[in-house]
Amino acid sequence: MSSSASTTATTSKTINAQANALWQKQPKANAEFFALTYGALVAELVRDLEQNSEIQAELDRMGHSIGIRFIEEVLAKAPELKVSQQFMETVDVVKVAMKLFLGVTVEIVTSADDQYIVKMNENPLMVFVELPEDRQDLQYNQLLAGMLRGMLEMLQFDCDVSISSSTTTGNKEIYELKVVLKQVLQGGAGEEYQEE
Amino acid sequence: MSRFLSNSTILDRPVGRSQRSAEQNVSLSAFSYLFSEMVQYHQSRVDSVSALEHRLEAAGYGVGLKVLELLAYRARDYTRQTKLMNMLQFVSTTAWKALFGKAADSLEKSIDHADEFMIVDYAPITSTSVSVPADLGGLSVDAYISGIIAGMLQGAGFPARVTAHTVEEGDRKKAVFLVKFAASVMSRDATIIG
Repeated sequence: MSSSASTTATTSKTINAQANALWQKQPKANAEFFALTYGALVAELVRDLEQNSEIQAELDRMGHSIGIRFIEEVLAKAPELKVSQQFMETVDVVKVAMKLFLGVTVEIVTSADDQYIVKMNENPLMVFVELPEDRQDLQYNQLLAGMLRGMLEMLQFDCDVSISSSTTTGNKEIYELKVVLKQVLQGGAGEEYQEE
Repeated sequence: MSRFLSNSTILDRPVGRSQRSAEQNVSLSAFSYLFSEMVQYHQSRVDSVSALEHRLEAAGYGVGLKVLELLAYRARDYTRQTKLMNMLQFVSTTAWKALFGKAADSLEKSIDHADEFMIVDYAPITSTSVSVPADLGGLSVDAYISGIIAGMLQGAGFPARVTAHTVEEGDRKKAVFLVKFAASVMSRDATIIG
């Protein structure tokens, strides 16, 4: 496995094919129902917490909690994914995870040795959503950022995950999550996932 | 990419352009994890089982109102349901299929009470991956679905109280959503011919 910074076209295709195959076997739930449920949750948070920063913090925390558990499902269903010490190899895990979770194929672009951008050109969470004018700064998708952060943490990488553009803030159609490595975590959990 | 200076809002975008987008899926895991976080969040803000169920119902209510609108918009031959039984059929088949991928397992009428009906589901998506600890005995997270049903019925003009119950049947459990209609609904329905 090459440790160069960007994935080649062929390995990218194989990962996508692998992710698609796994997705076929996943038990499914209706995406609109999922979106409406998420909307109900965010609406509740807005009522209870009022401040954008607090709402986002709560969504991030929930996402994190989901991520640290969901990563186990991903690794169990895709045992051939390499879990390694190389930060850039988490790209494959993220691709498979996003496909298994949301059914969405993502494109990942490396922007530096320690960061990459996850691009989704569709986001099931947003299908019925438009933020009101006084909430334009609310990061509605913060749950996804928290989820990535949680998953990467379980892979021993402490990262900052932020949403760098989406249709609710700015006028682009693509949803982007920016992942920046802060530090590699020491600790035993990584070994459990290594090949014997 | 708006051609005019006016803001194009979400109301201008086609909603679920086709049947295809209505059938788009996410993983069941995604829903289960999200729902689990939602329940835990509400649980942290209340201190009794009934208050928690109440919050879940309230959350479902808003969803129900929206689901009704969405399904009404999509059904090409939509005629507004005016008869009680037709509305219940709509909820237990059309709405159930849209939300959960299959129709409800059965729709029953109570023998003892003319204003009570039951929608039965053997494996509701909200509780199949949930285990309730003993100290919260009696909690039914399906209260979220009760809320959805109640919202749909209210939106269509059939106000009702909906509660979720878990019933043992032989060696398996089923979820029963008990729908009790308001007196006004029952008396109105009696006058409708057809």
